[in-house]
Amino acid sequence: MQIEVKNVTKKYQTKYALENVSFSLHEPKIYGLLGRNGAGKTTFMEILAGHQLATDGEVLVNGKSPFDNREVVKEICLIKEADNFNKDMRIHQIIKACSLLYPKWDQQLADELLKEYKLNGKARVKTLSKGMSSALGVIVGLASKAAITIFDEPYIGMDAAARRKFYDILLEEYEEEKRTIIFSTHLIDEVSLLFEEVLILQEGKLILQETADTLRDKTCAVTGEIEEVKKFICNKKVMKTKQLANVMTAYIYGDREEANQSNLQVEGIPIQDLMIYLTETERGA
Amino acid sequence: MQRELKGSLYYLQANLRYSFIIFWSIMIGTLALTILADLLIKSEEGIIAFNFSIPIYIFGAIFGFHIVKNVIPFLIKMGVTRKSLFISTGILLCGISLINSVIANTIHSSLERVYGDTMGGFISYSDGNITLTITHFADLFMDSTWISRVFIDMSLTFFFISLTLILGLIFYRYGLIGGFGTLGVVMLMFILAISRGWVTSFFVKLFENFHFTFFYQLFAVGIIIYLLSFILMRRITI
Repeated sequence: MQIEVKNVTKKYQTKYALENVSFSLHEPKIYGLLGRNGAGKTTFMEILAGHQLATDGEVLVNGKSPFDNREVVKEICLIKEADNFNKDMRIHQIIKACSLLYPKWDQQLADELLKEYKLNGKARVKTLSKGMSSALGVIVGLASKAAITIFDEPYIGMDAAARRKFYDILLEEYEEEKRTIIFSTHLIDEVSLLFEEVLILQEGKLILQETADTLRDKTCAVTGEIEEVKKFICNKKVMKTKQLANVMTAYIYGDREEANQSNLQVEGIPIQDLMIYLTETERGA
Repeated sequence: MQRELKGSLYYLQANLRYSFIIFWSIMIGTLALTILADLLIKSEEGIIAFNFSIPIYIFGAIFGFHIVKNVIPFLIKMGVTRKSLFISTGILLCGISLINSVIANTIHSSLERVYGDTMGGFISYSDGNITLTITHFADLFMDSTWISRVFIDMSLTFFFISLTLILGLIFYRYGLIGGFGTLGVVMLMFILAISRGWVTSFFVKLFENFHFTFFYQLFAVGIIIYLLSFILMRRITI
């Protein structure tokens, strides 16, 4: 499914959550939607899922608006960090409702995951721990098999083993059937290897959209003597510099090959650090 | 659309079942305790009156708010369109009004059959002395039957549900300012109507020639209020 975001603005009273954001997502990939708190990630995901209306501009899925459009929203599943389900309902009731509302629902997968995460179908949502509640969200997101599955910090409270299990199942499912997965998380280091494309939002604006491979090729940290590093980074886009005694490290956005050919020490930049440096730069600018 | 409606109706009924079971458990439990109390402590001075209708109106009124707060946002999250939401909510509200009225009045009629004794429209369930009565609004102005009582309760419950649903939607969409603002305007209009004597003359006229058709009209008003709620539901966001 193709997603086109055209000049989308969302304003809450005087504050802009999104400001004239435009981009397209053409292929079924795993997208990492990153940014600091208040960057506008959740707002964008809510507009895409048809929960919210943009103040200006439009989000189109296969050329159609998702707002109140069953043809589109039946193919979108948004799992947020909390409040995905009514707390008075039982797990089996939620699973049954989802099986009726998501046309591609995979009951077998849902049953397997319920066992995997040790969730009792008769339990009410309000009796679940934070991690179990997140597991239920993850189960619904995966079993929905929605063409666009959006995870917005889906694993709050889940322990490391449960998160690892989620990543494994997500990848297995994705390998089996490609779909657009939009992933927003603050635990970037854990999932960055899953991302095929990365989008970074900063204060309501899109500051980067790049494939993960390009990011790995085009960004690097160079370390060396201050003068040498300064000479090398001249006319290059520098995200951040650090100095300690006579040694300088510069995080740059440019050709990694060129850096490799210099005498400087070259290292890749993890996506999490990249997000931090890029958003720091933008804040400072 | 059919699958979507089925899904949202399933979600609505699953959501309602919990509060419905608790409500009726309390009602039946209270009735049993009342009968037991009547049998054990026979007071010659006082009469215990039991009424099913008022609790089911209150249950309906609370349920109107409950749907807005605890059901509509979750169904939208699961991809249900506003139109399907409106239709399924309408079916459920009619259903719950009817089911509650049928249950309440079936229990009422069953007890009437068991005890058989009546006095001035009020039923007494005691050996000669009237110590416990089960009352119904209809007994004040007509010889009520099971059907008439069911319709009266259904129309009143549906009216209250529609009213609280639309009020809940106003609060949901426009916040406390919008909600209390609307209530304020309604109260002002009501005070104005009282000061001009419109309310008094309305009730005088109503009870002078009170007719069962009033409940048909009330049911129609409930439907109109419910239809109006679509204006608020159409562009609802979460």
